[in-house]
Amino acid sequence: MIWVYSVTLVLLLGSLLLGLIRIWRGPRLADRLLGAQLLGTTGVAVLLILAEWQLQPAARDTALVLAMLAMMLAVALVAGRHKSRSS
Amino acid sequence: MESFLPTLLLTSLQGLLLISGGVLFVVGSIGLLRFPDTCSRVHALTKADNLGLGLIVLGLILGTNSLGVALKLLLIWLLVMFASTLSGHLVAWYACYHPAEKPLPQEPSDD
Amino acid sequence: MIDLLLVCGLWSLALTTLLTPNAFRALVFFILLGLLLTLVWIRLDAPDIALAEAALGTGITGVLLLDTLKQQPQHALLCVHRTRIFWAVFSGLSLTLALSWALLQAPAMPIALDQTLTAQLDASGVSHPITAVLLNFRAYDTLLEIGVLLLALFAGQGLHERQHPLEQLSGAQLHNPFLRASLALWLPGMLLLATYLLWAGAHQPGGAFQAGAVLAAAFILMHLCGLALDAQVSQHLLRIGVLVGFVLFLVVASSSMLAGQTLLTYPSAWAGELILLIELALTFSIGLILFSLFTLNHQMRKESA
Repeated sequence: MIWVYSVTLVLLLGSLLLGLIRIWRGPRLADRLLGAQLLGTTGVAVLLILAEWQLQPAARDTALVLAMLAMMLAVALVAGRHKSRSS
Repeated sequence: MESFLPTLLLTSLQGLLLISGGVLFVVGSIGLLRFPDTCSRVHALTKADNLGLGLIVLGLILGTNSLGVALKLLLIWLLVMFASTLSGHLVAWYACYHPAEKPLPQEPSDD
Repeated sequence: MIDLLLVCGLWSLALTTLLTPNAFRALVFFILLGLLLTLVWIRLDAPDIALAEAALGTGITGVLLLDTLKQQPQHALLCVHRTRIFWAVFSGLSLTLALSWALLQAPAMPIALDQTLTAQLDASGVSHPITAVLLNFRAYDTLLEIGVLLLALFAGQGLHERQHPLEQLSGAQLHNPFLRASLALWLPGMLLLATYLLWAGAHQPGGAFQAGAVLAAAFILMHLCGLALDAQVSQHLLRIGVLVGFVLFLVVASSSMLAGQTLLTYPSAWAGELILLIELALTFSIGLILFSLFTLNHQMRKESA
């Protein structure tokens, strides 16, 4: 069973590093934030598997926090635009 | 032997779900790389991570024998689905419907 | 293999954040550096730090940087000086050398701290060792940390002295129906999460700092979406809330001196309840202090505009 976890983890971390290329290229801030969003979800998946693998139940709480706070960046992206228009 | 067979079946099913979840994340990253504009990249993002995380959560639920952990995993999956829907919507709203209202500053074509 | 990938990712993220001339790219890479650090802390079996990093990194630091940068797009191009890189590499390397020297020189545990901790854990009122250390055995440190946070807030407020009408504080309303509908579901969820983290701190990783960070994130979310209380009410709440953690902690800490004991001794029968009370006040205060630090940026910009 251990090898399944490690194969999945390697796949997830590999996709994390792949996603970095999109964030590097951009070209707009929205594209970079989309990349960050995908990598945040990847991070949640990695945390859930690590929780099972290392018998560390607190990793699930960390995943919960990440899942709840991940959308703040998108809200900040939109909020800045409207505020600058109104002022 | 009778107890061995269901265990084997369960383990292989779990492995299948986990690895296909991982593959979906890789597919999502490739989609993010290959799609031409921001709106189609939103598509790659929300499809891949919801389904990929769903498969991984399913695989992990099969492996636990505690109801609390299973419910927490399901909750995390639902939250991530909801959050990525919302952020995908917001980013698309920002990028596709108001492209010229306040353009981002010109970024350098460096490297 | 996994650790190797994590270390490679950390190195590439850190170097890119430092070296890229594009501020937006550096910003997103910095956010991801926080995400990867969370994974590394879990890998190192330090879930308390991972929780704090997840809450602060994604909820507050990233949003603060993004918000600041979006308001000042003329700074989007950073000039990367050679000397700056040299100093970064130099100081990083010397810190690494000093740390590894200290690690090699460290004596082989003259006092077994972990055993002492385990032996004393029953007397502390909580069952999670890290909370016991933070709020009972080394509560002095935590008290001073809250003081430092307060000082940072006062210093930030001192940077711009002019008084200005408070209704400017709330952000513009966001006209997105889906966002507004989601907030009705999401904000109670965040409050619930903060409460859960606070409650969990007594027996598993969690506690006042993590819960306070989540609470601050909820406040920031409300602020960004333009939900606001009445200006007078929020001003009073803010002033009281910022101080209540420190004051309550100090009162409890010094009340033991009345009974002739040293500072910061809890009566053993009430230790668990007192710790919970202090943590509740601390969570509230930390949330409000972090939120106030976030809005300082907005006040300054409004003034200069």
